[in-house]
Amino acid sequence: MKLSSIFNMNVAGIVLLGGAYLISVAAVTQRSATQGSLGEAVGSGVRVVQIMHWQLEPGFRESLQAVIDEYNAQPHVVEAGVEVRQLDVTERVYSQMLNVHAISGTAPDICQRGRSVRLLRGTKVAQFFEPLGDVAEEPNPYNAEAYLPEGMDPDLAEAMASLPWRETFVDGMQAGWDQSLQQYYAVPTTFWGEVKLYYNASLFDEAKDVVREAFSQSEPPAWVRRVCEADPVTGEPPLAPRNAELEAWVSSDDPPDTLGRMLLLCEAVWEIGRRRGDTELTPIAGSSYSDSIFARRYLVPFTAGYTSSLDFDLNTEVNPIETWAGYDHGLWSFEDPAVRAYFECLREICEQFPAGFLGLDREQARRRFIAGRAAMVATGAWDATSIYATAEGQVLKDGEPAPPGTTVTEIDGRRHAGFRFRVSVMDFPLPGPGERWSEHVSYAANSAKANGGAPFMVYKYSPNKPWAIDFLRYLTSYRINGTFTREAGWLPIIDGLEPSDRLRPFRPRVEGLSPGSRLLLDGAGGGVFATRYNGQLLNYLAGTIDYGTFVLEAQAALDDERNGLRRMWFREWQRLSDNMRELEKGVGVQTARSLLLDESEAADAQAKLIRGIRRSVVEHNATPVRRLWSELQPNEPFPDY
Amino acid sequence: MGLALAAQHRTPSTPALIAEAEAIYAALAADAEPALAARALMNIGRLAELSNYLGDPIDLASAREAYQALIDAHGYADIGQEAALRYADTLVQDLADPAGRAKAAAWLEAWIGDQPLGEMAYGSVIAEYLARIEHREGRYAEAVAWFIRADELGLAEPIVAGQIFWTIAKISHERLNDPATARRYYQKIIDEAPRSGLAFEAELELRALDIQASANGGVAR
Repeated sequence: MKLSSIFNMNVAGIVLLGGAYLISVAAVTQRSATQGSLGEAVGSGVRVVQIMHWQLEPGFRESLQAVIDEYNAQPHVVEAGVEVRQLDVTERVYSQMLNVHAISGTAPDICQRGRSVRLLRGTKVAQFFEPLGDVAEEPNPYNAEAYLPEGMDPDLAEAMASLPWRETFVDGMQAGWDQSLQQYYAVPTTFWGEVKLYYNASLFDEAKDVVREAFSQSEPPAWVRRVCEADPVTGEPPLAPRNAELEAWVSSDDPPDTLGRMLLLCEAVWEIGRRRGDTELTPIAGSSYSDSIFARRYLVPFTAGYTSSLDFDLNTEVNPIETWAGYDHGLWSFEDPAVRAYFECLREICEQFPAGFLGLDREQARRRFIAGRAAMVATGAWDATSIYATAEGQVLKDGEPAPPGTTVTEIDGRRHAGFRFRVSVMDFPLPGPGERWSEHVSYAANSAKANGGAPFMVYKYSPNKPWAIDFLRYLTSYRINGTFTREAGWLPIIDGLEPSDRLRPFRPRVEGLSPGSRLLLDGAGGGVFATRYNGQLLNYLAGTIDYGTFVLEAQAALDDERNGLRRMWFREWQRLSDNMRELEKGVGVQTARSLLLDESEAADAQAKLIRGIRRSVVEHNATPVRRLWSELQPNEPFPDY
Repeated sequence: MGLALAAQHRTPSTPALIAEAEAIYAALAADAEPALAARALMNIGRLAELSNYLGDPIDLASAREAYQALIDAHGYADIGQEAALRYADTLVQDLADPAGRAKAAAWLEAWIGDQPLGEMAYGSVIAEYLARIEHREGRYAEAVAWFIRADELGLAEPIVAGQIFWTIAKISHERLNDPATARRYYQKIIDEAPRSGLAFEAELELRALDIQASANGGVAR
């Protein structure tokens, strides 16, 4: 008898599938029996309030659990038999899970907003989630005097206790505001803050030593000449001219404050790798996630100068259709020195990434950095806890013994167990005076418009809405939000709370140009053109094609009759029209409220109605994009697909 | 009214749903109490003004007719103000008429006449609307005057305050040679709209105005 007839792979597959199904059913049944279904109270007398999120970064879950435990122990919560439980879900399936449960009526009581949940946008938000405008106008009861810390500034304490809930947030709860629905639908619980460059300070010190050694030689090595001398082919200025200022910086312990100096250290890191025989060591832990971070950070400094000529709709910002229509009409070109400099700068930065970086994800980049295999990684405050803890080890309290098998290192008077290297953060440096590209840059972008992060919504069909809102009030009360964000290593969202020293650099920066002042190349308006454009850009950044080829490919994608610039015009009009239809629904809701509800609610509806109608008339029912088309190309009909 | 609103906004929209909504609105406009009747007529105008489903033609003339009826019946009451804005906007949306924007501004200004905007619920919206049209038309002095009027009346949408202040300041500075107004509004961005993202640039512009004033022997801030 043949082996294949005994062991049929198809049968084995079916058995495995059946086994997995049975295990899943058993797990769901067991969980339902012990914990209750999503969003329902269980028969044991405990009313379960579930909070679902995808923030699996180290620190967040533990900190949230600590808040939940404290809340569950509150006398009034115990008395009511309420128990909050967290449901942490990987971001890869969060959207699907929320979509399915929202529609089936079984979503958790509190759900994190975001993660590209396409189904739950626009008016669907109103269909599935509770409007929070009324409670946002009331003071947060957990900011009453009894809940505030002792010794707090009396003015701040009085403000916390008496201000409407929304006004206690740094961002005025804007992260929860839905512009089209004119309503608050979410409560932010932290602040995303700025993305920064984390750097391995120990490796930077070593790199500086290598630079000093190279500078002491009468004939500098090739890697120094590459940075400090003009481009021998194009004659462009050096990335970092060797002058007295550079020499002074090299002899100091300061981190790089200009792009040229950062690139000099990058070359030194490559040199360290060569000396160690470590081919894995790279200057920047780049990934498919980080090229766009650098692209966005350098876009405003290089291209802000185009804003005044491209802002056709006069709203002080440039959108994708303005960018590409402007290109089509010769208002900017890929050969403009500033544009070319921007792309060359990006490519130079991407050359400091590991080979094949487009195949690496965010987590792999983070791991490369904390393993000491990269000098820098670009990410935000949300990774601070894990990066600092892994790289610098556990900070031991006075008299606390180190865990067995770990070494203890003293840094700044504090003992660290399992120390690997020192970590610090810096801004994305711009080209300094005299450095290559410096004549094309102005200022970095600010992030003054930054809103809160990790916003949570209350499921409209939850049987526990009052408790869900109560828990969100608790989580965003002054004392608790301070503890929660401090323990999680995230930025606080409530006014008056200060982040820890380590997180301070991640606070939104107010200095700098408006983030809307630039060519909007990144994303390129979505659709097939964006896919082609971004693909060719990545090929260029990865060194697969040269600049000329990238420009030709971008031009070909733009000229594509079916999916190029004409399609982008149509898509933009379609997008704006869809927005207007969503707005019209919101206006319909407010007109009904103003006509049918009692006087106080009707007044609120009237105010929202005025704002909705304002937006409707100011945006002229999406016709400006068609008028702009006819102004730019008077004899051509608007594209139709 | 509830049924009609539901039919108007149910997705996906169909000719039958829109016809159903229109029929109910027409009945309400004819027989219901005044507030409902007025809103029903407004919504008849909106149904004509918008493309409600794929292939639904936009009928600006019918929309205008409904709005004119509201203006005639309600004058400067809230619903009349809304109808006036909607009427003017149908002129802007007429893509076949290159002078549509200018006509809208002229029509709306004539409609306002001597009526005090400060007493209108939509006063600030009307002023901002006119400002934006005048700006687009390149009539900068008129644009700034209307924007300032909207600001004085209280902007209906505070989120755009920074953008409006920036526009006032920039036009005053670069087009109207009015550094005092420019200075006032750059400062307002810093004081009243710091989260607009424009505060840093406003500070730079103020510094430039200071330098310019010093060079001209004037008085800086």
